Amino acid sequence: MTTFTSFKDAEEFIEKDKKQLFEQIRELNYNFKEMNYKVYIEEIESLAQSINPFEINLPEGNSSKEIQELIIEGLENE
Amino acid sequence: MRYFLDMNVPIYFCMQIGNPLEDKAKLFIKNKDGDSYLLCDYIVSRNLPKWLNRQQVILFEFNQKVKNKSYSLFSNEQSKILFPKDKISTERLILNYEKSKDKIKFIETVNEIFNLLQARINYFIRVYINEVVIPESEIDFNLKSCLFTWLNSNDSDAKTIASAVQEHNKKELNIMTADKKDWKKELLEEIHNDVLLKKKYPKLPKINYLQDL
Repeated sequence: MTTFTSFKDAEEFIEKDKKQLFEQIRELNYNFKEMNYKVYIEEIESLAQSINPFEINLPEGNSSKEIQELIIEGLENE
Repeated sequence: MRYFLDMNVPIYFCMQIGNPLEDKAKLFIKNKDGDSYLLCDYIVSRNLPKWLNRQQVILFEFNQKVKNKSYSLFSNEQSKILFPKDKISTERLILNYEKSKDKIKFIETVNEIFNLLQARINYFIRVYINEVVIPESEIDFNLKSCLFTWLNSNDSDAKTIASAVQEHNKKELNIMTADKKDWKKELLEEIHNDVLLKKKYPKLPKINYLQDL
């Protein structure tokens, strides 16, 4: 968002003959940002895959029991 | 032995309330001892994802309502996928929230359970399931229709049981379910009252119940 806004704000101050170069720089920046986020998302996905959710206990107590019972009610009709 | 699992087995396995069926599902899955566990494609690709999506919508509706009292429940487009029983569950969840003493803790508990349940089910399929059998597109329409007639029009059960019967006629399996009401030996025997189906599916799988473990 910051990159997008910065380029948008800067656009009006770019001279006509420099527009093409400006667009190329803008696209390069966007691509670079996109690539970084893709790598970041892949890392998070791979981290999520390596976690065993059965090692994380569900909350204890009466509320937790009530909520889980609510979820399994009517399972036989699924 | 190859065990063909009904959808309720993974769900019970993922719970943590000390429910007897949950304990039996855990016992059954963990004492593998050379057994392999099967789910049908219909459950993995359609029925479980649909159930999980509905749980996420219930969670969304709950979160909206507790954040903003004036939020009109089920006004969001996505809540159209909810069944009447899901709407009742959402309302009961909100009622429990209103009765709870520690509201913040209750919200955290609801969110943790719903999100962890989703992760646990996906993990269960990835780690504990050996085979996903019978692509949904290959479910025999005539077999499914026969079962559908005797299942009080429960299309999900009809497709799941049809998958089990088809797979059993390729390679022997046992069915494991917690549904004693609908998944019965007598239901499977109805298949053999149809001459053509009997010829096509001469073998019927044995049904085991979690309750009887």
